Amino acid sequence: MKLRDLFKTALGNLTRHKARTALTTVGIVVGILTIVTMVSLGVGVQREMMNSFNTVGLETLQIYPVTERSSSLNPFGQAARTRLLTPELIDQLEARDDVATVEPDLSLPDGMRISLRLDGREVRANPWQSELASFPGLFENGPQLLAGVENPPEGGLLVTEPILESFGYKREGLDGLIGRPVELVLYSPRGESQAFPFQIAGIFERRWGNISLGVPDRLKLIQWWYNDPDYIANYGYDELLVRARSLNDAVQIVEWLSGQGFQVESIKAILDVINRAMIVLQTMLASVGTLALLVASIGIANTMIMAVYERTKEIGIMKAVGAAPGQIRALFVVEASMIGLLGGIVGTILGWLLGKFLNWLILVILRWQQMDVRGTFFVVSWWLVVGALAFAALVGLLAGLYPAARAARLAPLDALRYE
Amino acid sequence: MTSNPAVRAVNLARTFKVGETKVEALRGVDLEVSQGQFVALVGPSGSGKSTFLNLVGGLDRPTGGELWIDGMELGASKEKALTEHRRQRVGFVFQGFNLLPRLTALENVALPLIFAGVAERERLARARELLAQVGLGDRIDHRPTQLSGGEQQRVAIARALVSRPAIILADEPTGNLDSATGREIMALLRELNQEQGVTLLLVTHDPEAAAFAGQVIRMRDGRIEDPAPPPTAEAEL
Repeated sequence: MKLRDLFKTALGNLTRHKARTALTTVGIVVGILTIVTMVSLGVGVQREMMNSFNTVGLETLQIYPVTERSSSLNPFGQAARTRLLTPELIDQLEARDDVATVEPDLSLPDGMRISLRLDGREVRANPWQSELASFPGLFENGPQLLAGVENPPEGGLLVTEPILESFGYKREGLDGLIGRPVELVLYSPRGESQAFPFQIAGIFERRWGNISLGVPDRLKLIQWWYNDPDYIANYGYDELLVRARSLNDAVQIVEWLSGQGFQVESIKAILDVINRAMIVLQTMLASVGTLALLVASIGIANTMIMAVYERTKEIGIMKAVGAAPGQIRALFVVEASMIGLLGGIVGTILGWLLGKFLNWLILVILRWQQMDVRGTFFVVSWWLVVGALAFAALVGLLAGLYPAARAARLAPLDALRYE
Repeated sequence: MTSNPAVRAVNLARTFKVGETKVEALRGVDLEVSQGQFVALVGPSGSGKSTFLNLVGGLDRPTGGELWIDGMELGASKEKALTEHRRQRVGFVFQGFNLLPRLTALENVALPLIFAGVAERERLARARELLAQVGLGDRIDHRPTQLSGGEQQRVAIARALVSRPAIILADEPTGNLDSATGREIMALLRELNQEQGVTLLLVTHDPEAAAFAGQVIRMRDGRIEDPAPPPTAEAEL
């Protein structure tokens, strides 16, 4: 029997009972729809997350000083640091072959009151902690540089647009402000104040008025604030950002630092946790679809067994004119697989459309929540399409095996006499 | 090829089990049919004539004895060989026509060739040719329900011939037809036997149909009543 005739005959049999075939495929459609939607969600979210993390770099490590557990006697006091992030540690790290760069980070203390003085006017400005060490918000786009440079040199200051607006400058004139001297005034709770000379180095677009400084300048402010010229020797940096040369190197560095008693976070480790969570989620959701397919396969098996009963006489005639048991079996298996494949095609298309719709809906809702998010959270890749169709056909095939075996086993004479 | 008889049964037996009881449908049949013969098996219901025909057609297996069809023993044959036998060497004509109702006359005739793996174009050409031969050249696209009983049996005869088998097995081919149509069908079968040399094995209890055969063999209680009937037997009926 030629393959073409096999498929043509099977298709002909399916179109004989269109309503029954359609109803039988519904289960497969639901199952494949669920699987395609869920897996495409998993793939899409994971891809968006990977993109976000990749901009930071997977080989990036964050090192924190070791602190005492905060004592119950002093619940509000800052925990004392027992192991400091010193310049010596930075030297040690930089001396390693597997380390590409080390960047120390310092945060300005909460409660520091800062103003900017320009053109004889003074405007309150809150420090915007360096974005260096923090991850950019997932799926969110970082602040846009409008003029100047992104990383301020020593003595250079980054400001956001609203601050300059409060000095009366418009966006068109921002370029001319780069390099302009500006005074940063620091007020202590004791009522003392100190002016530090700076130059505007970069201007960012942001909703709120903020300033940002390089780490050495931040240190100067902190030294004055705490009146401690040896601040680094006494307290060390708040955080070190280490970029390893490769992912493998990152693992080694984490081991070394952990051995030294430091607290280390690697982005890869965080990503691994998230990935694992995503896989668990995807597996759970895909299981729901698989369960639907299991139920659907019983439907297909039922339909095919019915078809064997209905067509017993026909099977007898076919055998009498020379159909081999294998050909009868193939005919029924192909029919069942076609039901599965048909459901798979419809389910994949519907799943893809549902993903498109949900993606649109999510973005609309997020925009409504005033979150600036762009992204594709449902990704139907070619392997998902191929996999879904193959899986659907396989479910049909498996469901058809038993009915097909029954049809093939029928004794020709008994089948011919069946009415 | 001509040295082998078309059909040779040696002490052929077929026993059915119905619950606990055994029904002996054939109790040692010895029979030889030469190539190109037209033989009618006659006898009352339950005499075993249809059972014998089904064994020759490979639709059923004997439980004892030997059954040689053109040099091949069927009883010991594997399922695959039996399928091959049904496909290539015999053609069946049934009392109830046994056409597939959703297929056209043309498709019904071409059906056996699908399982033989013949290409569609060749299948349909051969089927068309045979339908013309049985006088249905203008009805090839009709479905069985749109055809009369006689026409349906002609389609069935064309289907039986499509694989160019050596033997045609006809089981009460006139049973569902009025006598005039029955005669037409029998005339057609005799014509095939005489003009194309097809061996014809007919089972019937209609004496008028049996009269078309070259040789009539009577069966009773699973045995051949008179294995070598005199030529005058035909005149008796």
